[in-house]
Amino acid sequence: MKIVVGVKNYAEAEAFIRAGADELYGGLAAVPNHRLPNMSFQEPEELKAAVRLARARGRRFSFLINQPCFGAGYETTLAAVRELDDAGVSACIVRELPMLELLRAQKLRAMLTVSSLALCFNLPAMRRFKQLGAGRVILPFHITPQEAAPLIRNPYGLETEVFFNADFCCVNMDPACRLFSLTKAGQTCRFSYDGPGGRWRMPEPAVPQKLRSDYDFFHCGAPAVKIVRRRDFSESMEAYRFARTLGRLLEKGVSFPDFLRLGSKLYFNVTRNKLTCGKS
Amino acid sequence: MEKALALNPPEWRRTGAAGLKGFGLLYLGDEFCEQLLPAADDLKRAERLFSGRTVLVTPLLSDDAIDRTERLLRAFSSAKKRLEVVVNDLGLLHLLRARYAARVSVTLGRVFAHRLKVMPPSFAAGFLKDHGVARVELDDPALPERFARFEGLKLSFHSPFRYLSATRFCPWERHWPGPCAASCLGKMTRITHPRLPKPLLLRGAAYGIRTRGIPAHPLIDRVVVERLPARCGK
Repeated sequence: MKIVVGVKNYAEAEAFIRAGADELYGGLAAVPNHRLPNMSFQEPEELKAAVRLARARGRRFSFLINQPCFGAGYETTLAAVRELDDAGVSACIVRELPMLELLRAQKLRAMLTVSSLALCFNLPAMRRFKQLGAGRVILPFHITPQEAAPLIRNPYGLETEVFFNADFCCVNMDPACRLFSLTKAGQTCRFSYDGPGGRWRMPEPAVPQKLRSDYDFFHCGAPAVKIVRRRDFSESMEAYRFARTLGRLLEKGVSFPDFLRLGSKLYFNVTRNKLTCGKS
Repeated sequence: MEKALALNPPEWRRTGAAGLKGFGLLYLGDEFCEQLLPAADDLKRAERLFSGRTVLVTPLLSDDAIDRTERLLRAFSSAKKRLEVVVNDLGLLHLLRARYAARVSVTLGRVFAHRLKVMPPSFAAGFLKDHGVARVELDDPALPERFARFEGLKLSFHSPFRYLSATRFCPWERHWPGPCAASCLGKMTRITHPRLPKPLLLRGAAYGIRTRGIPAHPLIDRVVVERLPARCGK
């Protein structure tokens, strides 16, 4: 199973390539990409250098355009795409249908990848994306391995990619979530609310459920897992190494009980937001 | 102004014909949870008991749920009796255009409406025409004006629940889509936080807020009433 890692600068790209990451992806601060600008490359030249580095080392680098960016941002986006295409970027990760159509008309060398935010949950949606020129679909976080299985084996020749569940969890369905509009605060879904029985949190999968998803995605034949961008580079690297270790366990053919036992131990030793849940 | 009552299948099974008095339309299904797709028997019961028109309401759909939806389309739609379908899934939208264009009337649901609103106007106009979309469901008073530019488009407005977020990880039973004990039925959870301007309500698989009234807008010609439980957990 390939590991695809999100990066936000050249140094991170270099470090992940050295660590053996199979593919990288990243955005540019000037092009909307579903994260704050400080989670992206600041300068096009630095991004192009990372693209060239990945290419020289035989890795794919994908460019994020996974946020609506029409109107004023349209020309900036298109110019950035053309420059990166010339620099040898492997793919553009696109969310919106109009952008997909627009880029298909550009006849880029780069492949078009459908973002998880496009919410592709079924084969008819996949077929539509194939017609629109896509080469890969990143399946949404909220799809289960059982639901994803027919999509992974799709008859349209589309590559697929899934989330590394043990590292990432979006409680609600992004982009069908507009809690931000209510509070103007990111991660409103993570607030500690006052609700029935006192402190109340929006329910999310427990660790065994997350590990079950990763286990089942592997056994469904998911070819690539994605590690999302993080503010803290060392945490990104920890998540990558965690995924690599779990990947090795899966490739060895461990049973689910063993995978759960070992995976849980590792899970609680990975740092998230500067916190380690439990040292063993 | 048309008046519709929105019920998910278990609610519908508990509702007699008297419960539909005053409504010309029954919205059967759910926009946020595929476990709440109606069964053929639910639509048959609606044909039998309800003199108004039934609208099939669908959420984002897995492949299995697409198959179930197609079975309903084959059984309950025809060129003579078009079935109105509320669509939130691109795959279903594509399928309706490709195979059922002559048998259905397409309405874009509240989840998809937010994808439509960010499309460039010229693209959106073509998209609506291409997919035969006649109507869009809304619950946000700020949105009707955004759709006013599209000729011939009608708007429905949902009240009194405005959805703000949805999940496929069942918040009532804490599992991903799968066997469902319908634990959410008749329940609603109210949560508060100092940063929230008003309490957030969890209803089915959606979080939202209680709204009052329907905005006066010439394109809104249908109100969709959702009956919220009188009491909720808090």
